[in-house]
Amino acid sequence: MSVTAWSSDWIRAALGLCVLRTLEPGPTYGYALASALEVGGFGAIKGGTLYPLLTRFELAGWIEAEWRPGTGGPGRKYFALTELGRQELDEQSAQWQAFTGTVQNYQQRYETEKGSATS
Amino acid sequence: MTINHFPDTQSKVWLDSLAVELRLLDVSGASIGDAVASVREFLADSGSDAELSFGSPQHYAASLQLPVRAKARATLNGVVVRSVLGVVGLMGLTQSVVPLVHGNNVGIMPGVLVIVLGVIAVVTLLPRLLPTMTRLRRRGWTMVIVVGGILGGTVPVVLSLGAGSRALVTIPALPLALISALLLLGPALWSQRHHSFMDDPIVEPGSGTTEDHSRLMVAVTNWIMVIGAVIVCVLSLLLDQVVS
Repeated sequence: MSVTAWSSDWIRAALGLCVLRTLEPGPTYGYALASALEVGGFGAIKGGTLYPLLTRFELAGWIEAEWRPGTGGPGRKYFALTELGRQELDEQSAQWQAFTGTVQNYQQRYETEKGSATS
Repeated sequence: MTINHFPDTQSKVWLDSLAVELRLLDVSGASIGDAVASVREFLADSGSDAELSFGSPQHYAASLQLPVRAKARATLNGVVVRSVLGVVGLMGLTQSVVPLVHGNNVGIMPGVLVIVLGVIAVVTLLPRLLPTMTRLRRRGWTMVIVVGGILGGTVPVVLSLGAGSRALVTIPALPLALISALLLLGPALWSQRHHSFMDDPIVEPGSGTTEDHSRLMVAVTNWIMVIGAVIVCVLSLLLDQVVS
């Protein structure tokens, strides 16, 4: 299966919402998040892209982090959605739906006009 | 699944650089420890290269936009004040060392005054130069040789240009040397005491502290003026022996 190489601008725009969505079922750690996004068709998400986003969300209070002990080290840092994060996810999700709908309608309008002109 | 917490040498160098970059941004030790451990965990899980996955340590540190410590500005101003005192001490000591050996007074020439004022102007810019100096830490000995060479070479040349001028003021060598040594050692000792290895150490998440190379760098910079003074004094005494 070939993976579409999406525009980096599009990835940047959608990544925050998709990270929040990935955290919705329950806490998870950095690499598991990146893997879920890759499986979901976003391509390989680098640590240098993911962690600054997670840090920003943590500072905003949308997620909270907890180090779970592992063998021979601090273990893994698990990220979980807070109540504020769930509200943000609902809000962003609704806005994204509205935005993509607007883009879709706009395109269809011109496609229809183009179809009428050629017939 | 267990994680391999022992990164390869290349990743370890990258992680050390990240700690230094975050320290230069005045991020707290706890946040630095958390950021470094997060990267280490991701690299262990993905098996990828630090540079490929996170870019340069400098860029990644800036992209995290972690909160800075509250006292960062006051610390910077303190560094400038201590550096200026150190420069005055360095210049006083280097001017008095040869007359002290010969039992003469020290004549403060116009050229010396110009040099002192010029160096103070440069030192006030030191905090802005410190990040670059720290990033060049792997060439530490080259830097010491270059700085020593500039001080040991330029200062005598400039002084010789104003050799024919009359001294603005004459001061006994011993008091000048003692006061200068005090001005030189005082700021270094103060910095050592107030910026010790226990001062906001990098904390490994969920446990104690880690080895912190960035604090070692701070300790070295505390004493750089004293090291410079020793080099210049030795060069001045050697030059004096050659001339006489």
